[in-house]
This record gives sequence, C-alpha cells and structure tokens, in this order.
Amino acid sequence: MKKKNKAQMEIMGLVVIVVLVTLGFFFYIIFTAGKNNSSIKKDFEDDQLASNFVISFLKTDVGCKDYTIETLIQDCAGPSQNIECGGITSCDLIETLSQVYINNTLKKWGKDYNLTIEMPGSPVKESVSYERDCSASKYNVVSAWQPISLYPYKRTARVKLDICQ
Amino acid sequence: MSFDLLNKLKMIKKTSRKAQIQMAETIAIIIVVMIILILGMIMYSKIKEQDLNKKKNQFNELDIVKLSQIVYNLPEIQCSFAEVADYGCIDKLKLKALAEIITNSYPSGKEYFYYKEIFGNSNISIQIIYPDNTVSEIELYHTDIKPKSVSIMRMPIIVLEPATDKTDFGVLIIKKFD
Repeated sequence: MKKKNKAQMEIMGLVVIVVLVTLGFFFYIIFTAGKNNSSIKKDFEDDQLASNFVISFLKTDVGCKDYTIETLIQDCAGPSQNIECGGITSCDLIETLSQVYINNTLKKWGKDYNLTIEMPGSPVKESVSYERDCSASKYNVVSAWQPISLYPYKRTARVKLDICQ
Repeated sequence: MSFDLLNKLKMIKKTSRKAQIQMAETIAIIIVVMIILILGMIMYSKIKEQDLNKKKNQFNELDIVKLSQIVYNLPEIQCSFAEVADYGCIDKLKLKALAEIITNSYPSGKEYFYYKEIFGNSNISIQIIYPDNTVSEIELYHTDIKPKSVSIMRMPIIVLEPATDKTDFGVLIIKKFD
C-alpha cells in the first residue's frame, strides 16, 4: 500500500512537470506572437535609397553657374582646380554640399551610412568620407556606387554610398 | 452461512473502493489531457494569428513599395525631353500644376477621385533641399483620415526647374495610412 502511494506521488509529479512545461511553452508563444520581423519595405527602402541618393547627389546643381556636384568632383580630381564659387574651391565645396545633403536626409532619418568620394590622383584630396556607425563588419550593408570619368585623364573617380542595417 | 455472507460483503466493499480510486485516477487523467488539449488549441490559434499578422504586414509593406514605384514613375510629373521620359527626375512645373489640380478638386471633384483610386489613403509630398541648406516642400496629394498606423517611404529624386534648367536635390516622401 505504501509502495503504491509512492508510485502515485511520482506520477503526479510527472504530470505537474508536463503541465508546467506546456504552460511555459504556451506563454512563450503568447509573448512572441506580437513580434513581426518583416523586412520587405526596409530592404527595398535601403536599396533604392543608396542608388537614388548617389544619382540625385551627382546631378544636383550647386548654385554656381551650371556646375553640378559631378562637375566639381571631376575638377577636384583633375591635376589642377579651375572651379571656384564665391572664393571656395571645388574640393571644399564638395565637402560643404555633402554635409548639407547628408544632414538633411540620411542623418535626419537616423540611417547608418558611409559616403565615400574617391578621387585617385587628385593633388588636393584623394578621398572624402562621411560615416555614421557603419564601419563594423557585423552589419548588413546595401551599397550603390557610380564611377565618374575624368577624361582626358586615364583615371576614374568613384562615389560610393553604403547604407548599414 | 452468516460468516460467508460477511466475507462476501467485505470483498464487495473492498473492490468498490478500489474501483472508486481507479475512477478518480481516470478522471484526473482526462482532466489533465483536456487541459493539455485546450492549451494546444490556444497555442495553435496564436501561431495562426501570428502568421496572419505577418502576412498582413507583408501586404501592407508591398502596398507602400508599389505606391512608391507608381509615384516615382508617374508620367504626369516626370521630366521628359523630346518625348523621352527621364526616370528619377520630377519636373517642378508639372508637379506644381498637378498639385494644384488635385487640391482644387478636393474632396469630391473627379480629378481628386481619380488620384484617390491610385494613391489611396496616403500623403505624398516632395521636399526640395537647396545647396544653401534651405528646405521647401510641395504637397502633391493628401487625405484627411485618422490613421491607425503610418508607414513612411523616402526616396531621393532629382527635381528639375525647366524654366532655368537647374536641378535640385529632392526627396519624395510617401506616407501610407492603415
């Protein structure tokens, strides 16, 4: 009789464990039910943001004659700097305007980015870079880049934007 | 004779008690199984609900992606030269003209109704960022509803001023309401 009672107690213990495990799993499901990690919009937004930013940035007029940012990069990357707007050289103007457009867009929207303008062979600046929390390799990066011909010089400048997730 | 009857009665009583204990055990097992089954059903419905919510969110996200593509390539406001469309560029004059048409026909004009069918419950505007760090905004379309949630998409775009042939850095802002 005593042995039977002990066996019954053990069975009850097992039942309690099974019920507790089931309850734990149940609450886990309930608390994770509300979390949705869909990323269709985010992926699309970052992808188009990188490419559209680079295209629009290069084609934007700088408010000085007919120069665009692309023209400024071509001038800055060349052997001699001929463009000057209000006493500011093309290389300095690139930096000022990059800040203006980054501050009003990527920075304002809280994006992590890395905008690099590479001008190999430039006597003034070979590279200009603006970055916000985008250096670590742990991030998923969406990139867009645009080469700029420096004809008649046998070199190519490059504008690259990384959007880090 | 009476001793035999007494023994038999005792045996019946003992067997009946044993059966009662077995019945109680069976009932306990049934109750536990029922609880587990009910919890299982609730869990299953929660998982299903989660799947449906995920699907709903995905469709909402696809909706705003679709809308952004429609606006980005809207022929009414696109730049064009010699009847060739220039993608990723908005003509400022066309934009202002269309915005005026839509605003003037708000809320029951046929023009507004036409664009409501395309844009749905959303606000669409273009922000222009000038090199001197000033910002202006042109609203193309708006709806007056109390949204439960808002999904925003921002797309950089070139804004052309055809009168002077100048190009500005613009941002197409689409707010989709649910």
